[in-house]
Amino acid sequence: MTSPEIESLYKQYFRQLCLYALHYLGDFDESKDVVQDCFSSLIKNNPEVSNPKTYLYNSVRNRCIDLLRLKKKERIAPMDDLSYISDEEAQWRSEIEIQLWEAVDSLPPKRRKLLLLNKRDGLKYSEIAQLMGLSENTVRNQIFRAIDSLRKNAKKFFSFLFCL
Amino acid sequence: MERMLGFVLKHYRQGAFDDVKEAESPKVRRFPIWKYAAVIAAAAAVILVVFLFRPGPAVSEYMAVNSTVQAELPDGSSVILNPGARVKYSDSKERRDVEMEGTVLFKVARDEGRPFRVDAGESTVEVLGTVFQVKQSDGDVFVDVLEGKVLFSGSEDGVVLTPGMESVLQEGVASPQIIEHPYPNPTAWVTGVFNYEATPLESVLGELSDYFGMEFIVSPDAVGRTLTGSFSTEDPESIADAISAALEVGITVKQLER
Repeated sequence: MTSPEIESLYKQYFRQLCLYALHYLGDFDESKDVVQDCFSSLIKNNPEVSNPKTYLYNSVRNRCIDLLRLKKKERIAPMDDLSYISDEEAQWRSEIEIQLWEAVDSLPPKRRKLLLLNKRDGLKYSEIAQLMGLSENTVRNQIFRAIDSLRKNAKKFFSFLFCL
Repeated sequence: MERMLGFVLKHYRQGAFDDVKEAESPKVRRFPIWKYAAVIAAAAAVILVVFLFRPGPAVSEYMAVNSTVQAELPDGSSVILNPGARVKYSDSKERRDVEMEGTVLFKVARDEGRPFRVDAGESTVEVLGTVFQVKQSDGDVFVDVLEGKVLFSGSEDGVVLTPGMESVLQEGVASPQIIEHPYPNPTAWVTGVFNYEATPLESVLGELSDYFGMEFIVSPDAVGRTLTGSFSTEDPESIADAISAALEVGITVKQLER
């Protein structure tokens, strides 16, 4: 593989590979490091690969499993909420998730802030309202609208995927 | 789909992939020393408190020069200022705002109708009745929470901090980063005590070095030791001696070269 080919793989798959690794490792920075390492390996060794995408996903998966073994975790299949899924499903899932991530990126800043305070940081509507000097109703509406637009975005991607 | 959305929201960080083209994301450094004004003997201490009243929103200003100053804000909150710190408080019917410099410990009175906000450098701290400390030092801002919850933000995304957590907004960075192993006694300058409970010796000496602006060096055989005990903040040499005796290791205290 040539340098520009690897670079284009990087641009195309880096982020979704991070989310893929994140399911295994639970730690964002660690996941990023693992994916960086995989690309570094790829650049250094430059093996013959027929399917670079699959190669990268396998590479990331294996590195994650090694890392988890090092930490002596017992369960090493990608699982959240105790559901085991196949590699293929996990790969597909990461592609959807990066779309969702981008959809969050493109939310209006104020609305995104409220959404994250509630869903990511665990604050209650009343706490957010007090913190931001807004009414609880406003908080609730903004968050509903955010989730609604994220769902609509995801549906678009789904239908695109199924039309192929 | 809900599960995927939940996963993304749980881990989402603004700008997390901005550096995809660069080698490494910036690591969190502990800031080496904060300039600590010498404490003059109590008898000669000069405390300077300045009140400024202006028409419109009420504004109060407070400043600590040579020793720590404790004050009550008009809304019932209390602040403790480290020497060199300044606080400018203003409020209205809808909000309470503070601009500050230096290191200040806040105990914010709960007031449902009026959010309490602190601006230090480029950072903003928004709170629900809580106890927290803001240390603004040479462009970096550190926040430690003791009670309650605080939203600490830079120019973009923010982090929610709960008791025991410490976070830093480094100069030029958009969002604060959480410090993984904060020093155990961020408010030692107020409490006058260092409390350690099976604390790794590296952390202890790191904290003491930072606090006194001196270097606490330990002999190599002390790697991996932990310390339990309380020490008053008065004299670095006697703390070093006490730890030395307790753990049977050699500790020396050196002035840092300027």
